[in-house]
Amino acid sequence: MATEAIKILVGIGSPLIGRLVLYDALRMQFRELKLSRDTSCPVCGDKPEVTGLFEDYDAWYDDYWVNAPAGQEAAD
Amino acid sequence: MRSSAEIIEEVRQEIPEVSVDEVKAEQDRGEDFVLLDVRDDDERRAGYIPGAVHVSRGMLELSIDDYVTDADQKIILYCAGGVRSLLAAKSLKDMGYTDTISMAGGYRSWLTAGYPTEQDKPMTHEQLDRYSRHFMLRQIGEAGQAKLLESKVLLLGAGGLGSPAAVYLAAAGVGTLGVLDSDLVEISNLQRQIAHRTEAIGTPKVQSATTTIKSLNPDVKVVPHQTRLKAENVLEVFEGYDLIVDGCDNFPTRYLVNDAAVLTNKTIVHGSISEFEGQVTVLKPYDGPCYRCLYPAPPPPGMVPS
Repeated sequence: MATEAIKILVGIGSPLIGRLVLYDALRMQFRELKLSRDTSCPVCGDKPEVTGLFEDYDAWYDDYWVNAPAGQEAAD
Repeated sequence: MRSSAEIIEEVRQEIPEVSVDEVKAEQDRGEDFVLLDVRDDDERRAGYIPGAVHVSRGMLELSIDDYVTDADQKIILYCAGGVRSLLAAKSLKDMGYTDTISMAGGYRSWLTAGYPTEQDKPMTHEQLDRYSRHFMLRQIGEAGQAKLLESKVLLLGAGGLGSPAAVYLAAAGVGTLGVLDSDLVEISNLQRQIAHRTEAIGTPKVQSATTTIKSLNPDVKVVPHQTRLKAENVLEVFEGYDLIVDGCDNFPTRYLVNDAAVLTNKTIVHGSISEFEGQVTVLKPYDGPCYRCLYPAPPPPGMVPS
C-alpha cells in the first residue's frame, strides 16, 4: 500500500488501477485480477443513484440485510 | 581535432531552435510537447520552468525512455544558456527521437523575459542525506522527493494495515500524514501494529502513531484525527488530502469512504487482510472501478470475518 501511495504521489510506474492483487502468505503466491469500471455502478456509473452521502452508513448496512430481498446472499 | 565552436555550429545546422517566447506561447496554447530540463541538479534547485521534466545531461541517454517512450513525441530541451540543450537534442536525435528542438538562450533568457518559474522548497543538508537513497533512484530523484514532501496523505486506521503504511510513508518523507483512528492501543495489537510501542498501551492510537512517526522522521507533519468516520464528518476530514490510504476494518466505513472519495474525486489505495491473505488495489474515480463496482452491496454481517 505504501509503495502504491508513493508511486501515485511521485507520478511514476503503473499503479494498481483496475487491478486487484491477491496475496496468499501460506502458499507465498500472488494472483492478479483485472477489474473494470461498472457503467451501471450506483456510485460512479453513468446513471449514479448515490449522489450524496447516506445519513448513517451503520444503519444503512444493518437495514440492507434486515430488509434484504428474500434469497439474496452475500453480494460477492 | 575540431573545436567546440565548430561542433556547435554543425549541430545548429541540424537541430532546430525556438525562442523562449515561442515556447511560452506553445505552453499557453496547451500544445503537446515534452519540455525537458537537461541542467544539473544544483542548477535546477535554483528554479525551473513549470511543467518541465528534469533529466540531467549526464543521465540523458540512460533515462530518457522513462519519460518519453514515443520516438515521434515533440521534445523541447533547455539548459542554462542553450548550448548543452542543443548537443543534448542532437544526442536524442541520434537515438531515434525524430522531433527534438533546443530552446535558444536557455533558462537565462526565460528569466530575462520575466516568464514564471518554480522552485522546489530547498532541502536542508540533513534532508539531502536522509533522502540520498531516493535520489539514486532516477524515477524519484530530488524532484520526486520534493513532491513527496509536499504531499498530504490520509491514513484511515492505524491498525494492522495503517501501521506499516504510516511507518513507510513517514520514512519516505511524505510531508503530511493524517492519521484517523478512534481506538486505544491494546497489548494484543502490538504483535503486528508496528506504529505502536509497549509504553503506548492505553493511549490513543493516533497519539501513539504520532510519537512513532515524529521520532522516525521529524520532517513529517502529523494530523491526528481521533474520531470515527461518519457521513457528517467524512467530507471535512478528507478536505486537503491528495490521497487516501484505506486500512479500515469494517464494511460500513469502507462503503462510506468509497462513496465520499468518488464524490470528492480522491484516489484510494485500498487494502484488506484476513489471516494469511491480503488484497491491494488502487481505486481512482472514473479511471478504474470504485469499490461498489466490485461489491455493490456489503456482505451480510454474519459473513464477515473479524
